[in-house]
Amino acid sequence: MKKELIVHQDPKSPISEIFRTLRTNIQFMNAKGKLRTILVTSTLPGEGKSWVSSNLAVTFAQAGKRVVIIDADMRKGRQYSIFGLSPTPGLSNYLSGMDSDYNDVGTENLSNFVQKTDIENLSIISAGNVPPNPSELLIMTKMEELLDKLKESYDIIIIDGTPSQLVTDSLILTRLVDTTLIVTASKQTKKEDLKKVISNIKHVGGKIAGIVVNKMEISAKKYNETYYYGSTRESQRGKSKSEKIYQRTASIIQPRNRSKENELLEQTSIEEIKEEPKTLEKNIKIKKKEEISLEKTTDILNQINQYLDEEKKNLK
Amino acid sequence: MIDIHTHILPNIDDGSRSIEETFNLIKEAQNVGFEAIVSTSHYMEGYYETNTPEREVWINAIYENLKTKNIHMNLYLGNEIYMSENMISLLEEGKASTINNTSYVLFEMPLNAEPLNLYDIIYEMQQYKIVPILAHPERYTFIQKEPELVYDLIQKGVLMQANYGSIIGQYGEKAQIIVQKFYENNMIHLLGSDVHRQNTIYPKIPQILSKLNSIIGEEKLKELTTTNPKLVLQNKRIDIEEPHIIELTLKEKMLMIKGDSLGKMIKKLIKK
Repeated sequence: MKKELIVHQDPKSPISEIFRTLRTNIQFMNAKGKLRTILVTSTLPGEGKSWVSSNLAVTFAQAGKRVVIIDADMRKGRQYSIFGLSPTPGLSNYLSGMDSDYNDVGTENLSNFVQKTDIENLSIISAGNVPPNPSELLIMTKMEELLDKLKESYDIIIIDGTPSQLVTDSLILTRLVDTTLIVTASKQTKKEDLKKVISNIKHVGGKIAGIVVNKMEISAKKYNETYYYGSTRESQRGKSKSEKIYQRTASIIQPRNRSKENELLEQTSIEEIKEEPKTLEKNIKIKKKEEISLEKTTDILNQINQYLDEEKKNLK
Repeated sequence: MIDIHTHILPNIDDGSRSIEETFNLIKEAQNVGFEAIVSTSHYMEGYYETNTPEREVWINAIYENLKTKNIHMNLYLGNEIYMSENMISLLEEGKASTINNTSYVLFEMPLNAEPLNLYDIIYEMQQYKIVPILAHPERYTFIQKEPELVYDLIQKGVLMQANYGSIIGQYGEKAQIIVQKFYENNMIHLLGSDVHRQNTIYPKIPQILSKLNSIIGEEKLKELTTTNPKLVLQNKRIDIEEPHIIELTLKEKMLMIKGDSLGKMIKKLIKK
């Protein structure tokens, strides 16, 4: 599991607090209990989709919800490595019904594709082998069926999508989910790109929950205030009109460097929670076909003894 | 300190050439502060194929005789497996071995060309819950030109083992520059000597440690030399720091292609 899973590694950190704010805001929109599937997308790669979706999912799980993350980035998905799980079988295998060697995989049993994480209440479906046609796979009704099936056993389904400016995958998904969250990066995401993504999503009839502003540089003072007062909505005011409506959710702060983060953690006097590292599962069964003959063993031992004897002689 | 990458077994691969050299290597390691050594002989199909039971006999026999020579060193069995599609069956059949019989596998790639099926093989290993450790990423020429690949591999769950000698230029200027970038961007998780001969890398370890200390600091250095290798030997999970993407300057990029065909072509064009 990676250290970037901050809400799990350090639940008391200011960043975790902001993720809880984000969760609360989403839950607030969920007054009628209808909001169960959330798509996380961005404009271009590197804005923090996977980071936000994994941490958000953990936050929901910590609140006692049964959560599943679907890694729908079948081109470059990395959710499995965040949680230290297997990359396959995953979504692409489920949707195509095939493994990497084009052998049939039984898709009747969904539980074969859902992996439990070390975090209580949280499971993931990895992206699976990289298929030649990710967009086509998502169009299939099977994706819709998958979401319906998952709703039977999970409260919240978080889908980690692809960047919407690059490929159409997320646009396809946005029609299937209850709401969409767009992750942007401060000083990185272009306004035109964001506008385009928003209009594209609206064009296909998707709903937007809000925009997460990630990688915001912020002074230590503001950071503490954010922590104590738990809301950044005020700071969102006064931005451009087109963005304003969508900025209902919290902004997320990802400190640029670790030393800064440590400094901040010291200031807020948060005790560090250290978890004993987990022992890894072993799946390789050594069948011990290979053997060593008695002659070979004695030969090795003789070689060593011979060397040691000679050395003794030389010493004398 | 634990040395996670060595070729100390005699006449198994291109490492130690005699039992004498093996003992000398272990002594050298002790002198510079190592408490444990993982023997990671090459396993390369068709070239170096000494199976696990045979190497086990070697390791045990050597370990038994360390005391008589007044050396205190723990020895563990492993392999540096040359990337292959048969990796899983090699492990299952007891031909090649994981590190200390854990889920960690040290593997190497061809030095000059990126294997086409790189990601497939990594996926397959991970399906078997193996944690792949890539040996000396800084030495591959295709990684020197495209260090983004290392970022990508880390994101896919591969751990990176740098060689001690790279930072002082043992493998050339390119490897030296690129490994420094890796250190600075959280891209190295383990350190190993990759020792083959006596009187090469081990005597230089103190000098290297002080250089590394100035780059990554004492705490991180301890993590790479001791804590993480220990977690590997215990089959415990290593939680890694988020890596940063490396950006090479144009000058550095030019340096990385220096001497190869593309570099020569550009040089010619400039001369004209």
